[in-house]
Amino acid sequence: MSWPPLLLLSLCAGLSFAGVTRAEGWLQPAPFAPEVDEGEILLGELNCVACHTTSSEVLARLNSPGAPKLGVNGLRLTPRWLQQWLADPAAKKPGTGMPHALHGLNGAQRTETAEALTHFLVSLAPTGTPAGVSADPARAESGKALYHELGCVACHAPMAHRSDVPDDAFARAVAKAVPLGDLAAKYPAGELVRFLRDPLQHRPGGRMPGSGLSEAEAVSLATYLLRDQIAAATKAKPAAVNGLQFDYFEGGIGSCGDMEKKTPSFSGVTDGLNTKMAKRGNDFGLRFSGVLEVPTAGEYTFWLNSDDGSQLFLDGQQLINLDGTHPPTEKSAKTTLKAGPHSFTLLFFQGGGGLELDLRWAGPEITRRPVPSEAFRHYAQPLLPVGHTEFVVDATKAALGRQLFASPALNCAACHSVDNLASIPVKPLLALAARSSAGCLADNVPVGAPKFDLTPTQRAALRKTVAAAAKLAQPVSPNLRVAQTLTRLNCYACHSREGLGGPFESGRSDWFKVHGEADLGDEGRVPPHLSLVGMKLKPAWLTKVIAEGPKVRPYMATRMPQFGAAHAAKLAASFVEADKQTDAQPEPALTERDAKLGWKLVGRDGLSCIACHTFTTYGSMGIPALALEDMAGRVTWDWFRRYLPDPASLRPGTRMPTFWPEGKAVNTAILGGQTDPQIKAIWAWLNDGAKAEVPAGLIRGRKEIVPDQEAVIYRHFIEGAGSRAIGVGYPEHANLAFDANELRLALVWQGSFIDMSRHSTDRGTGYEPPLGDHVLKFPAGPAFAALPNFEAPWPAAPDRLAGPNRFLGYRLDAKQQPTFRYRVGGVTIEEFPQPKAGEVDMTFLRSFKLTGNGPLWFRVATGDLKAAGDGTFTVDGKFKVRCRGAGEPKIVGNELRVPVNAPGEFTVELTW
Amino acid sequence: MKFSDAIRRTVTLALSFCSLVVGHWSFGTTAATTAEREAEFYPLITVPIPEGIVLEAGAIAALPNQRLAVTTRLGDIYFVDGAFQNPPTGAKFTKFAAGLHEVLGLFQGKDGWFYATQRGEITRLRDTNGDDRADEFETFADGWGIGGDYHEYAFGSKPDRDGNIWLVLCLTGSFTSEHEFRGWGLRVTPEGKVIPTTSGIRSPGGIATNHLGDIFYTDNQGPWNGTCWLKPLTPGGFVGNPSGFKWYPLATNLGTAPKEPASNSRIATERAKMKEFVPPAIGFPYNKMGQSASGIANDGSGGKFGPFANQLFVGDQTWSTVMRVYLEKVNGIYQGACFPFREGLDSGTLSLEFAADGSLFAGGTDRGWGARGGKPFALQRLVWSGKTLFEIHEMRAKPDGFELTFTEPVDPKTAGDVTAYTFEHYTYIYQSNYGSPEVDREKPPIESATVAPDGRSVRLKVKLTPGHLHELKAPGVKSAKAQPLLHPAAYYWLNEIPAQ
Repeated sequence: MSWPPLLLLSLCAGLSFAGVTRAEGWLQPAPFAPEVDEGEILLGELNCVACHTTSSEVLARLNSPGAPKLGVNGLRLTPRWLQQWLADPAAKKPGTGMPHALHGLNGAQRTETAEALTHFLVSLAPTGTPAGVSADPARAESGKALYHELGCVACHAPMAHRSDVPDDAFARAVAKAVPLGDLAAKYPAGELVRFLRDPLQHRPGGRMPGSGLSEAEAVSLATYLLRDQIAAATKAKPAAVNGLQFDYFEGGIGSCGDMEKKTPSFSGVTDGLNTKMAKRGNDFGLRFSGVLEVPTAGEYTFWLNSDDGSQLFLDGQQLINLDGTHPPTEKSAKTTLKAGPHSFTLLFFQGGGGLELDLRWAGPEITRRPVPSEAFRHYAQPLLPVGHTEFVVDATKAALGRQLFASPALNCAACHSVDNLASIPVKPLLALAARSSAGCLADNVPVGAPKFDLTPTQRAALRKTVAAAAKLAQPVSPNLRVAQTLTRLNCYACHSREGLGGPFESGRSDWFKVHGEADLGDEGRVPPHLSLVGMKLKPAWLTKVIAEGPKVRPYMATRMPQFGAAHAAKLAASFVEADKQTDAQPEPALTERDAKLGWKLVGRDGLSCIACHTFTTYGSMGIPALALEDMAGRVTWDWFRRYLPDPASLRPGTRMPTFWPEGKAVNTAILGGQTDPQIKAIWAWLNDGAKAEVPAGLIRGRKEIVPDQEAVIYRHFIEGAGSRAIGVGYPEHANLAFDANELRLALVWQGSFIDMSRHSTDRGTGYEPPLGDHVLKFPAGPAFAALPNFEAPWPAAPDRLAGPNRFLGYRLDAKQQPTFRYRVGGVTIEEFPQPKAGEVDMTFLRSFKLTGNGPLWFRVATGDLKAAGDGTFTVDGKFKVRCRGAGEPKIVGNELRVPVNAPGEFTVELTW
Repeated sequence: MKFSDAIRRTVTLALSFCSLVVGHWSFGTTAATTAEREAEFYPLITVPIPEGIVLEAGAIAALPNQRLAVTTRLGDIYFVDGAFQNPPTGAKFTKFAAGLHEVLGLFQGKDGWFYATQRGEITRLRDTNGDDRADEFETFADGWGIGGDYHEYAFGSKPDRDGNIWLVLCLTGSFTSEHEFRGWGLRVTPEGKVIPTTSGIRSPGGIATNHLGDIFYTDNQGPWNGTCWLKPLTPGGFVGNPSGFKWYPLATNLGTAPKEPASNSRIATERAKMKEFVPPAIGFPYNKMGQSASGIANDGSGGKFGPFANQLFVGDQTWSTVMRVYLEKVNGIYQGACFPFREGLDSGTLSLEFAADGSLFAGGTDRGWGARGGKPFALQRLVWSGKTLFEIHEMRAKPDGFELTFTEPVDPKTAGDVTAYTFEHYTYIYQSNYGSPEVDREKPPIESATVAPDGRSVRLKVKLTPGHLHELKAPGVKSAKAQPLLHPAAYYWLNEIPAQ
């Protein structure tokens, strides 16, 4: 196979994607495989057979993509742009596949014709207007991120030059890109949103596939692509545009009503009801306002669920009141609504703890579901096309346009079928052989023939193919058909096959990114190669992947595009045919015993596949590699049995190791270490899909550390006690955590000590909170400080790396109880906490011994302090402290401070 | 892109040829596997671990009287007695300390204290009342930052010739340095003073000195690491990953940060532009030698472990293997070759430690990162059976090629035949993106193979390329006793071509 897709790609890109600069010389004498000439590709891509009729065999071989749809199935492009385009397509997009039909007309005639055609086409356009898009620079920013990571840049030019991309790679990616044209003049924003969500509906050719965009994503992307319209929007009249307006409030919010008295911290626009904009986890409020677009008149039920409070208003009337601090609570209400816009306000506040906000509805033809973001609008200045003017269809001009559209001179109807207008047949393709240098292929295209924007080389290639058109009736080999399709659909931008194509070859690999920290290298960011994919993937799955682009690699930022069912069926069939193996093995018969043994192999006590692979709702223990429950539905047995013994042979660079090096099982305990039966057993387990038995090791229970006869130390990341926390659990069911970064007692609690499962399964990331109850959290900052006077503000913990303050360690006594040692300035402190369980309360008696020399202040407690006599203070009504052996206590603000001196000793009783 | 499309295509083509040739694979071959052949010379003895002990062995210290101290990722330190018996069925585990934070470094100092490297600090600890349980824990050094990220590991060495402990600190996650000195190598003096020493670290898996007392660590494939490497740590050096440059202002002993290297380049290119750049010494080609290089141990046994005295042994966690490394210095720069050594360990190899009797202990874990061995954790011992084995002993760079020495005299006919060898060289993209394919591949011919009169070495005349990994295979070379090499592959990372 020596088909050179890249050259073919650039060839087609230049032509039908329209417009790589000619001067680049992208069309060079190409070393095509002998059975194909480049002219054939052009013949197909330019849709020549729309005019020049031919046999079904030739049609099948050329597989022409067809032209964009016009009329009711078309897009409402701006009339101004449309007219300019019709007057000279190549001037708008050099190299376009749209021929110049009006080239024979003089200036005035041409303008008149283009104008008439424009009136005709606009008169056919679908009625109604899509929601506007607000001129929101923040949305443009999120659209920018989407544009550069979800795969647009595989074909189109990157527009933001990231600092980690070398200049030459950026320049090259820009130069070799499918141009977007002047989108800001061409598209009303709502229309671009419509197009981006389902491009194939308007352009079935498939060169612009769908990307599975949500409405909100499409709006963001459109805002970015139309960002040149933002400046002009300041002059636009407010109109209903996507999303809701929000006001965000912070501090002192204990009910929905509290927001009314306050000024918002900031305001903005959001896709729908969410709290993404909140800058903190508690004590904030949100007011959403705008319009709810009701699709059909009738009775509607709304369910509001929130934690904490919320209120819903429709048309200025309160519909649901769910105010107050509470756990997730649902309330519903019914109302009858007319179709169309209704004013909408929703208030929500978050006090603390859990956070939830959810609004659902049901109504005519709507079963209970979340109110979709498409239903929300607000009034704002919308994006308007650059050069926007009002346009009214002139019936006379439209009628003339209709005549022209179907006239033999223009024959637009040959490619674009609208309004039942018929194509005018011209000479059949095979009849052109004798005069392949005439008509559209003449050096100077005569009036009456469409003028394609061809280079001399392209023209020569086409002439050659047309001259020998008879051979086009022969079918092409499956592998060649695959290569043709991968080229036409530009699959090669993201995938390689048999060494050709892919982001490395195209020089665009820098734009393929991984989400999060998948630790998977190129495998995590670059879409998989397609060599033998027809053998690897089950035909039904392969078809689905091409048609719908389902996501199986959650870590990969680039999305598999959606090419629709028609393309998918053809391409999948070609793959399967091309990749057929002569030594293919049929699916083996599987027994329940196989599946049980497979379960063993997959789990913790077998090969531990779950160390990397996820299973249903269970995360893996490490990297989030492909889900086990989907495997057997995706890949074939024939591929699986070849892959497992030597993954790198089928997937070079993969992180997947083999567990059968040189064909021999590393696990000899299961199935006697026989390779074949082990692989079959795993396959059997995989075949149970999501219903398969959960592998051992994935169901992880709590791993509570229980101090039994003596104290237990747990040094780890403990929530509230920092990254150098020292947790101590005592058999008395009292626990504490010392913060060795800030040199302070950070937490005390009662009951269970700590659950170590977070840190002892998987990679062990993050902070673990105390497991028990009655948790007291003490404020950040050091326990001891040297102060210029007793009223001075308590300092923050000093820079660990710079100052003399440091943690020194601990000693354990016979009951494993630690005495912490740390230094503050010139004073060394020994702190020995000892638990004493009372009948009701728990007490830590903290004994301090100071050596060295100097006065220090000790912060005993912070909070609402109340003297309870006998030197005891109650704090926040939650716990009591009593300090003995130190100096006279001082209350400074809400802090209880005592002066201490080294050398010296004192104690603090902490009771709660 | 600095490399041409053509080369990239060649690479991809070569790879996909592999993918097309799938018929070669077969099940249930009866020939001995590599692990079985290796076992004849280096049998593997598994120390049984009592129920209830999770021995994810982060570090091993061989103590006098055939006692081991083994640390765990869950923060325990165990004494193990009886591990030297064969079989070690009576091995006894005594918990010396508990509750520490992922201990990945341990030794007993001359002062009797144990020095344990936790994530947040080097702690010295000891037992003062003779009950084999530590009761004094002193913070010996903690001059670096950590957050709550799993990736912020700290690997600590045993003391170097000056008594310093060396620390390598993993980045925060794969790509950033969020806390002080993440992505740095630090030295801790015998007084506990922390000296920022080397920048450019990404994700270490082990750290140790060679027989000369120079310090090396393994760094794993990822951003700026096209593959896994063994890298030397030198004061003021930069070893490849610039994510930690922001901490130069805290490293007042080192001056200002160097200019960051260019991404999408080559090590040799960037090294030439940066005086601080210390290139890697050994490249472990990804998916050829392993996938995650880990612990390091120098064979100081003087021959008790076979013919590889003063060579380094390096673990690979994913492949559950131990690899062998020969280092040499050319123009003052370390470089050398790695060879497969032993596969088939029970868990993902993490820690390695030579005992006084010349046996090699290997500790394993597969938590968070899967490993071929399949067991969640393991403690195993490799001993030399005493049988003579035929291996490439050393691979040295020469001005016009390589000199190979062998553990046994070679058969001059096969060893002198250039067709007994295959040779190619390639490198990796030096880039901020994760990993790299093999690029810039060339297959220059071996012009001659000259066997020394004593049959112990062979000179290969072949083109050398600095900044490339030179992959040599000698499947046709036989010993004088007509034995094939146990491992015919060698991978030489070349920084410098010697003048003579």
